[in-house]
Amino acid sequence: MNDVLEKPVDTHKIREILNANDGARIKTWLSICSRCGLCAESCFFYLTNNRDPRFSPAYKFKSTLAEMYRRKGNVDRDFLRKCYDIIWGECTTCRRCSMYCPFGIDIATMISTARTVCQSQGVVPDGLERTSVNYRETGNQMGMSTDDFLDTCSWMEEETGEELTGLTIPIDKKGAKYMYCLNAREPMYYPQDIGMAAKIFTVAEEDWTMSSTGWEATNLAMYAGDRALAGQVVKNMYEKAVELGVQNIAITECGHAFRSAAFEGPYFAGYAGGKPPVAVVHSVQLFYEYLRDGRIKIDPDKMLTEPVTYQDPCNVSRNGGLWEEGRKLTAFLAKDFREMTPNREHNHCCGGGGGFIPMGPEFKKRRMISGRLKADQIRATGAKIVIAPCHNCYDQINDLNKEYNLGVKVLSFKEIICETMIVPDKFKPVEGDDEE
Amino acid sequence: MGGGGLMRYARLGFAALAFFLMMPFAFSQDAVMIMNHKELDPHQRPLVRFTHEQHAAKMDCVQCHHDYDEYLNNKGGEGGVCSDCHVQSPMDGKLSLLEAFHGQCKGCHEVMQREGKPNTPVTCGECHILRK
Amino acid sequence: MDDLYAFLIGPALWVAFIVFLGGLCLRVAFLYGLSKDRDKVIYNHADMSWGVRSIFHWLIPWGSVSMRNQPVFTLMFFLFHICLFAVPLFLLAHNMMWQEAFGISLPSMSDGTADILTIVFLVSFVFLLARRMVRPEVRILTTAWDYTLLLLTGIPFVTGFLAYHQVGDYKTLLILHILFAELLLIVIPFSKLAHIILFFFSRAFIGFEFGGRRGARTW
Repeated sequence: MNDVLEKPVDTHKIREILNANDGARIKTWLSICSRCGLCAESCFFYLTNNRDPRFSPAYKFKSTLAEMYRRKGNVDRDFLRKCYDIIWGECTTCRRCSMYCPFGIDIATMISTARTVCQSQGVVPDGLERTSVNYRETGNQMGMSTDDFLDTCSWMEEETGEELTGLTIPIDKKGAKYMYCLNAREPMYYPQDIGMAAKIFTVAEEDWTMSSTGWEATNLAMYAGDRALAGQVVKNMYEKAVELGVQNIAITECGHAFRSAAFEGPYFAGYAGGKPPVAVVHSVQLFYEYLRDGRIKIDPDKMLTEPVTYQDPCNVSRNGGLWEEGRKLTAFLAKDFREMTPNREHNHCCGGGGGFIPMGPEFKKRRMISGRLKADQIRATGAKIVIAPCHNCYDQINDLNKEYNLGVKVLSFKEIICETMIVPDKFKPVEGDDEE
Repeated sequence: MGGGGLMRYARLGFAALAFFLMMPFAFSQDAVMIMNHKELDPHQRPLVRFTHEQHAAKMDCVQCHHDYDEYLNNKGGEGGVCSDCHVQSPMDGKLSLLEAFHGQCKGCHEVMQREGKPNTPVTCGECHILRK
Repeated sequence: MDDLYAFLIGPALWVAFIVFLGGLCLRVAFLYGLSKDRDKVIYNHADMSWGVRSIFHWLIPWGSVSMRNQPVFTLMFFLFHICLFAVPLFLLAHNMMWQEAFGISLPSMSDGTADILTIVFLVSFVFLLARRMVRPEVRILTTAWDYTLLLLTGIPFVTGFLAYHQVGDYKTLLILHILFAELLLIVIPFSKLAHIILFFFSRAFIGFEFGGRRGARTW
């Protein structure tokens, strides 16, 4: 990003973005904020940075987006650089503050708009910009080619098939009930995640498919502020789902992917009515239904006995509405469950959301400071296992685990379900089969 | 100039006589009436001290001591007080006592103020004066 | 001074009421028109039940987690707002003027009650002012205009209270009382104080957005 700091600011473009977003909501929010300061206490950045008032949500939008409007877009590089630090380095757009504001001002939406302004001038974290290049070139954040992806799937089908007879990873199956969409990290670095999902779907005897394109569920362009690209990313997925005629899109255990696909994507992609063309379901919901309906049974002897706590990912709980499903699902899997406080829709962000994890080493130090709150919350539960149905939470809590010596193990639901479920005999491989 | 001194005493004495002669006339009515009507209890504001004499000197008695016939002609009252007719709440087309007071005093004062007469009380505290 | 008084309770009062009500109506109408064009997200997920609950929980004291976390502030904040509404609306003298001018008025409270509420208001006013100056997270947000607006809400109470008790020059205080109250009314539609009406819209939206779409309570 440093090279763009030399370029002149295109104030015309900034004004264009500001005008396009200058609707009734932003006008109202900017004008009625009464500077009561109640939002400060809701923000984990504020709470973990010695209650420095510059970390209060109101201050953050006041010194970024509000200032852009006040100056009618006539801002300089220095200003954008300051905004950069605030909107990416001090906010994960977790939206907790909106619940603590007497007017319900959606500060995260304003921070996102400020990100869009900065992004238009090339002021954007390198880590996110790299993913944008990848999204443009390959449709996924890791820049994985279709061939590599399909190879990975068939490799996993082969490998997991040895454990579970009859396991297949269908690709582009028309009219399937679920089109399972991923986080590109899975095929790239954690292919076993695909294998585990395939096991769960197989045991549940689900009618599912993967897709050769549009399989990327993440949308870091949304966090980079590139709304056009964010629209294109979800469109790839939606259009593939429509083309295959699937009934639902199922999203892997990733928080922001769900927020993008189910809630914000239709707006980025310009779908009237604000609804995705195909229903979107998160893994937490889907896995819960399998266990609730008895399609998957858990072996009581294998249930987790160590104390377990559940990390509510902001984009699954508060911004996804699935906090109860997460708990009920946990109840099937663990004997000793302990709540963090606060929890459910009032949870605190882990500190890894909003693009923070892919933003890379430049932001790591801040991420560890702001994550202290989550570390303290986890430690207070006494849990040894943290379930995190979100890749960013997963990574962040692993980092916090090292930084703060929490001594916990972070697990996804997929991992636990695969370890604890009863595999019916018909799926059990015949002894001696693997000797050849 | 000893006679001059005598004349001065005579003039003083005449003035004193005139003063005492006028006395009963001047006090034939209350100079100031304290408007303390039980109907308006509890009074929210300090009681009004109505300078009846001052007002009587400036206007027709029947303007306040009124009595209207069915055609709303003022036949003139017979010196009764407001609360003889106006009671706590409006009745038979008559204003409530409070409305009657405010209408009578403030209404007139506002007209006077519009005519440019200085020091005409129209605000609350100018009639309801707190005595400390 | 008589002329000034007559002006303030005559034409100036009309102007103040018209600007106040008209300004608020125009502002809401403008924002409504704009929202139809640019904020479709409001209407796409409108859900009255969630909207109403989102408003209601913030209208009752300690009705939200945020308020329960700051109990003293909440108490003061509610006393401030309740008195700010109740005293001018239900003051006997104000209603007497409504009654004389239009023949209708609201029910009124006794002057003793109004006195107590005014003192309560002033206590909460001082609390909010002090909080604004003392708490770092509030002070950093506060501009001169925020102080101006806060003072503007307080001045009519102070002058009204002094005039009622006839401390100081009565007529001057009364004129200041009316003047600042009218200024306040005129400023409301064009400032953050428009939240007296916009509060309902912004709260309803966040109710739709969190509750209607996700089942999450915003209180």
